[in-house]
Amino acid sequence: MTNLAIPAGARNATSGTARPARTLPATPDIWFFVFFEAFLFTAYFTVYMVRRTQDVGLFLQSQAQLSLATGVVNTLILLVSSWSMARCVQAAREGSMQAALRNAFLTIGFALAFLIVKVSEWTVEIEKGFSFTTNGFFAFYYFLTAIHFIHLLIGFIFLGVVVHQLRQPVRSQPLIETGATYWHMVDFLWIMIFALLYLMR
Amino acid sequence: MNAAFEKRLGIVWAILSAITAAQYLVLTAGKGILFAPNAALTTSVIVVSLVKVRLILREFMDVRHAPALLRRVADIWLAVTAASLLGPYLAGSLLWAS
Repeated sequence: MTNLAIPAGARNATSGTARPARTLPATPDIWFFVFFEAFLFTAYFTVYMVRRTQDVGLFLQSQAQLSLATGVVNTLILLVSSWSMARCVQAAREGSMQAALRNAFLTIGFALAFLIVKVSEWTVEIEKGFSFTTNGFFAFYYFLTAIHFIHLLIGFIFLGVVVHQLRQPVRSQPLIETGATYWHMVDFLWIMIFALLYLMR
Repeated sequence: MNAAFEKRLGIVWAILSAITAAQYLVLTAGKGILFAPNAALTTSVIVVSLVKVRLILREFMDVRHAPALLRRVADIWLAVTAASLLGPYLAGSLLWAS
């Protein structure tokens, strides 16, 4: 089921670095899911942009209540987690299981770091008195960061599957890449949320 | 690990982090952090962020080695997102200016 449309030789555990010119990473199913989610988030972002035009002053004042530095730190954490995830996939393709596992655990560590920073950021904002019902901007802030956070939590399940697969004597490279593909989605959705909530003016 | 590929992944990560740092520096360049409407800044923020996303898709997610269909779907999503974010923003700022 998982090796649909994937040349057999490119996918077994012992394949080397050479890959056929055009192969689908991971599985078709996860790509369908990733772009379904991507278009869904684009719809959320569009509603945010339209609502923002109706009260630019309020949105700017509210943006000033967020910590830009915290947003930057969270972005840098997810970028480095994506890097270790990509290194994990590459190591697994080459059969370097120790390197792959090390990078998988690094990714989980960075994911935990993001989680801690995000929860402490919410704590600070709530202590300052800003909640979901404060105004239009904060409704979007909590909605977008929370729905992203849920995707991050689901990401731990995918990362767990990656670690489990890396420890199998006969592992599924497509399943490892499926976990990686999901994790990179968590990263790139955050890149856009960061741009809309913290960076734009 | 394949040295050339490993180096390439490292360069991509360095570019993504450098862009993020530059975005921070632009906003904090003046006295305090800028909080005024700024269409040029916002347009560049959205375009540059979509460039970051495209780098993640093509390099980290290996879309550049994928079949044409996936590469096209990725670029169509990027274009649709750019249009649906910049469209309302720029229309809104024109309405505000008038």
